[in-house]
Amino acid sequence: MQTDTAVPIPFLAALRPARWRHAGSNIWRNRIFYILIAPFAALTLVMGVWPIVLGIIVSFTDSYTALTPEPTYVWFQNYIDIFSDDLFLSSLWRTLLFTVLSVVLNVTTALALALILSSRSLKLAAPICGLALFLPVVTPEAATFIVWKWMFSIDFGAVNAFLEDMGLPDFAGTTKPLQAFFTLVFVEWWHHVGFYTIIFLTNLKLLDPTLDEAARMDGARTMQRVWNVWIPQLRPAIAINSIYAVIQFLKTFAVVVIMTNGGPNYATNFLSFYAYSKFNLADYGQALAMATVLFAIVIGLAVVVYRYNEKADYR
Amino acid sequence: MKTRSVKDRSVALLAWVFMAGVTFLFLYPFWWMIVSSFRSQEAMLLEPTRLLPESFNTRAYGDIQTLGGVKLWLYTFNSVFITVAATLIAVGVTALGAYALYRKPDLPGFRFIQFGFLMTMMYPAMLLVIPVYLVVFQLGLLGTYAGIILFLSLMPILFLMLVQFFRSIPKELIESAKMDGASEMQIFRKIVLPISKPILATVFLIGFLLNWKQWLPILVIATSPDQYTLPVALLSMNTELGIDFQATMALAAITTVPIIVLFLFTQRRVIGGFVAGAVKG
Amino acid sequence: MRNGLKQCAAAAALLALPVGASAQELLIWHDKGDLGTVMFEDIGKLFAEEHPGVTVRALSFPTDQWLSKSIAALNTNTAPDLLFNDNFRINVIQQSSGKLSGVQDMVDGLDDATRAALPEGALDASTLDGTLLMLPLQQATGAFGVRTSWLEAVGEEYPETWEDVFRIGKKFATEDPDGNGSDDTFGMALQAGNPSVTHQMLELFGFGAGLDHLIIDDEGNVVLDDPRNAKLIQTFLRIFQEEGLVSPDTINHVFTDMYQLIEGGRAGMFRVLDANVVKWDGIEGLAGDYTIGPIPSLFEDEPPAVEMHSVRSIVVTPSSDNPELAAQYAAFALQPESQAIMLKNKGSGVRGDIPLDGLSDTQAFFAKPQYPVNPNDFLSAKFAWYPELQEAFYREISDAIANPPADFDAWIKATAEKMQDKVADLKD
Repeated sequence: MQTDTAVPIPFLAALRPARWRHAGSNIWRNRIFYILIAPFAALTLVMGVWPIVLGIIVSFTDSYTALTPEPTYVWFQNYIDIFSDDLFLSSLWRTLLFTVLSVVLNVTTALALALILSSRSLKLAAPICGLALFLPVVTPEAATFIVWKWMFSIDFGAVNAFLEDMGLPDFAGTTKPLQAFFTLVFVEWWHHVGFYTIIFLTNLKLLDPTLDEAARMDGARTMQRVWNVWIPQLRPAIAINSIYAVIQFLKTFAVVVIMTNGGPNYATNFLSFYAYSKFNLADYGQALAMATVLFAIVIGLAVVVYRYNEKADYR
Repeated sequence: MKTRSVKDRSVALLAWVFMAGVTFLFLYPFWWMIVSSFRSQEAMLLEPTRLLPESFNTRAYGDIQTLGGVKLWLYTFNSVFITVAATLIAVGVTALGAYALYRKPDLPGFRFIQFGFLMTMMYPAMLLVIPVYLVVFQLGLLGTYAGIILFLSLMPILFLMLVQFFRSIPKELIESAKMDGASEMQIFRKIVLPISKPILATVFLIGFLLNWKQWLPILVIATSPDQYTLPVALLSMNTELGIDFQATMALAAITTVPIIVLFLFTQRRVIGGFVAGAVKG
Repeated sequence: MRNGLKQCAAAAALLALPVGASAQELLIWHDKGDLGTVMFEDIGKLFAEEHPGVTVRALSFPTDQWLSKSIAALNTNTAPDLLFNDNFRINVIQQSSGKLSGVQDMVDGLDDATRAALPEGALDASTLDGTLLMLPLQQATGAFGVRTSWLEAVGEEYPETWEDVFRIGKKFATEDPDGNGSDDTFGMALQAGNPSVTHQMLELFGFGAGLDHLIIDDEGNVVLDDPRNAKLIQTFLRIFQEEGLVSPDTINHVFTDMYQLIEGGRAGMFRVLDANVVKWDGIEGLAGDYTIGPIPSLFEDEPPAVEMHSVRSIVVTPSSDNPELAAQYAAFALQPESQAIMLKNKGSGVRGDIPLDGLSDTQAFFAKPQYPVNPNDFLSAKFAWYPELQEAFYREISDAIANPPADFDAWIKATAEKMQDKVADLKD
């Protein structure tokens, strides 16, 4: 398996306009490819493009009529409503803050963990530790988040029992606004950091050993080598992980549903959770207006990153 | 030289202790879940951090044979059926599509498909469920396995892994076959398919793991607990009349343990696949 | 190839069939757990004696899923034959879907004895915007309960006033009333996790203590800052400020968490609904160890009482394949023998003339009320916008629980003004 990381997201090249160089008879000559792609195209259209377009359309309609054959269009009313809703605005800022915090936390700790895991001193323990880190990535979050919910329970959770044994004060867990926010930062970190760690770990194995040797010869200390030799080479991996993390944490949802339900006092009412609770009360228009806003944020970020990558030269 | 090795050793010890702590932090919740499923609620309340159960109290596993008026075996069947069916379709459809897009990205219409796919990837996955609900409704597939399976078979990460793999096939292999006068169909069947078998197995495995976790699309598209899978049943265990903590942990264990076992047996493939999809994505 | 395609098409057609549909099956969605399912299916078996070949299937959802699924199903015409829940939730699904058309015909078609046995209060509570929207099957009562052995352990009697509650609560939290040697008990279990659960508690304490209205009165005037209402709200907020009276987690609690504390023996005082006792009488440690009584009194001039917490009702949906059969089943659930099944499984019916044999003491407390039953004001039946006002009000309450107001009088005045504006807004 080769791992060329020169261009982190070549897939974004699809944003470029199509080049219609070949046309007409070309289609018949390549009919086999049209047959091969047909199911994929159908699935993408029906379960991807159509819902997205419909979502945007419904965000312009009156929720009450959204599911009827002839919906009433209220145009930007749903957007006006959500932007004059304090809860939405606070949830937007909260989501962005959570994302920034989580991306920084996950990428830095994943890098640190990967560096430790790749050090020779750990020997056989490293693969076991790597497996443990990765386990939450593949196990059902419905189960693990429920477990964490109980572990943080102030009434009989393991976390506080542990703190008490150590003679430390209780942690409020999900009962106080600020602590609840950071509890979710932690649980989401637990759930995802293994993924980013493994990516760094793979990239660390691909580092150019001659550069490191040269630095060693020059008498560089470990920290200097990490800082001056390894991290610059890891920049593409840092970029990829950051992009994945941004997309991941912007849509933070399940942990809220399972652990806090947006509380206490709306302290963890993130955007996708708020949209979903609107959807649950059949407020389709506002729910999809919120979804569209979040979608626009993701696209905006992706375009910025893509532009930046096109210009930047990592080598 | 000597001081250095002492220092190295102490650093190594520090790394050991630290990583042992980290490993504990990542494994303990799973252990706690399994142990708790064998302990009565009263015992849990009294001593929440006990590492081994006092006795193997299997009451909870008996109690969850029926949940919300639906048998546990039906939830399990749904989990297996929906996961396998959606993943099979996903792998088949995505592999063919990825191959076509890799070979001829510039054919008329292909850019549009790729663009649409890209948009789908960027739409916040959880929120896509809301408009998908409306689409599934318009298709008349609400409350059907077909509606659930169709949505779950759209798996962007598999596409990234497959495209990555196809890019790694040496161009010469295909070019020389063309020289020999092989048709595209022959190239696909005789050359590409055989060397793709390992990657297809890998993406199937990863697709299986990811679909097994799914809950929101199933919760939203299903119109009755009859279509719920294990994770959805797990989230539905709270009723107005209270919750059985031990039973919740038992169902969580049933949902999770098979996946842990599967993952441990296939970890190289799974982690390698994830990395390949992500690094090249 | 052709054969294969045919098979594929057949399989696809099979997959596209809604799971579990059958012409002679009536499907009910409720949120009352396994006992609720047993109740509806047992009534269904009786019903089948008169209607051979009919089976009744009941599915229980968690309450929030029941709400969202019912709304979505009504909007998409995929609803089951019948929906059952508390009147205020049926009101919510009607306001979000507008698909229910009322049950006046069904009530008119009832036999005279049944019609006469239906309390007018229950019918009033089943009315929305002047239309009789749902058929009441159960009248649910809310009372107060205390762990008997804990009272003995701390040398107290059943609490009559809130001062008693606060004093006893403190003892429960600090004197290890369960004698297990660890400091793990709370005075009281409560739920304040979101507006839709908090309102149940505040209403229980308010209406149970004899309040006529909570936020607004019948005319829509804000009354929450009247002296009596203010006293209730101040007392309610005090619950969260007294050290150890409730778990600090209460601000997140919904009923599951609250029941966890009650059933797990962590809280000494709690709400008791008629629907709780059948389950609790089967829980070791709790069964036989709780005393049920009236709501703690707030006002000296009001007699001790309990609250008529809700009216649980059933509706036939427009998507039913068998609307007539479904309506017959709903009416059948009002017959004395069906009502007896309800009493047995969920502790309440709606008829005043149900035979009461074979009930446990705890069930009898609700079935033969010794205290006046003060009804909830059920204003959601009168004002379509009431749930929205409630939500706004309980946001303020939730905020005041998290950040206790320094000057309560100023806070209640300000909140009343905000609600006045909100009412004006909503009335438009």
